[in-house]
Amino acid sequence: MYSVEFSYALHRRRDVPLIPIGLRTGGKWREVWAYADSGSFYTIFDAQVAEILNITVPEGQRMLAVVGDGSFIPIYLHTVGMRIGEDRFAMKIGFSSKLGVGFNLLGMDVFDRYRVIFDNRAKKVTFERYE
Amino acid sequence: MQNTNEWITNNFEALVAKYGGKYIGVVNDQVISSALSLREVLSEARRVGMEEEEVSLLKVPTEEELLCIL
Repeated sequence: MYSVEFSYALHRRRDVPLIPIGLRTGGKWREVWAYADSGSFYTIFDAQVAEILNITVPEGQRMLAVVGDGSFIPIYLHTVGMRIGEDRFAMKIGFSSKLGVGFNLLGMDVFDRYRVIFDNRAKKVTFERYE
Repeated sequence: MQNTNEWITNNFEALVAKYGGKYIGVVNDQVISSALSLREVLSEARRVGMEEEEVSLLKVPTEEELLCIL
């Protein structure tokens, strides 16, 4: 079973599960960091990430997502190549220019592929790919 | 990228203090570029001789954003 773990970042003694994600639409991979967010249904990246992947955001499937203050933001789903550790796969992720949080978000849709273990005592998050 | 990843994780608090609200590009233990625009970050990285695939890209949250999300 494939498994990869990432140490938490810390900010003012609080755990921040940030992990590097590989993304690509053509030949080149780009590594972009995202916050592993079990409270987010979709994986959503800033529209600027779409730009460097040569994705035209509004051409994707339009959805609405609820953000922290209860408002709705439009997100556009696109299929990209994704890499977590050495594991590579294709996935639909959302892009939005209205993502008003400080992070790109790795959401529950990725968790369908992995058993994700947040180990606060060991200060790490582990991704175990389901067989 | 392993060195880069460890460095980002270990220095996250300092990165927030210095670059909060910006994108940064990191290679090994160095921030090689920072800007509000991700394209600018990659452009600067190329200018200093880096391949885009070597650069780890982090959207650095502000202190306020961290308080909200946490």
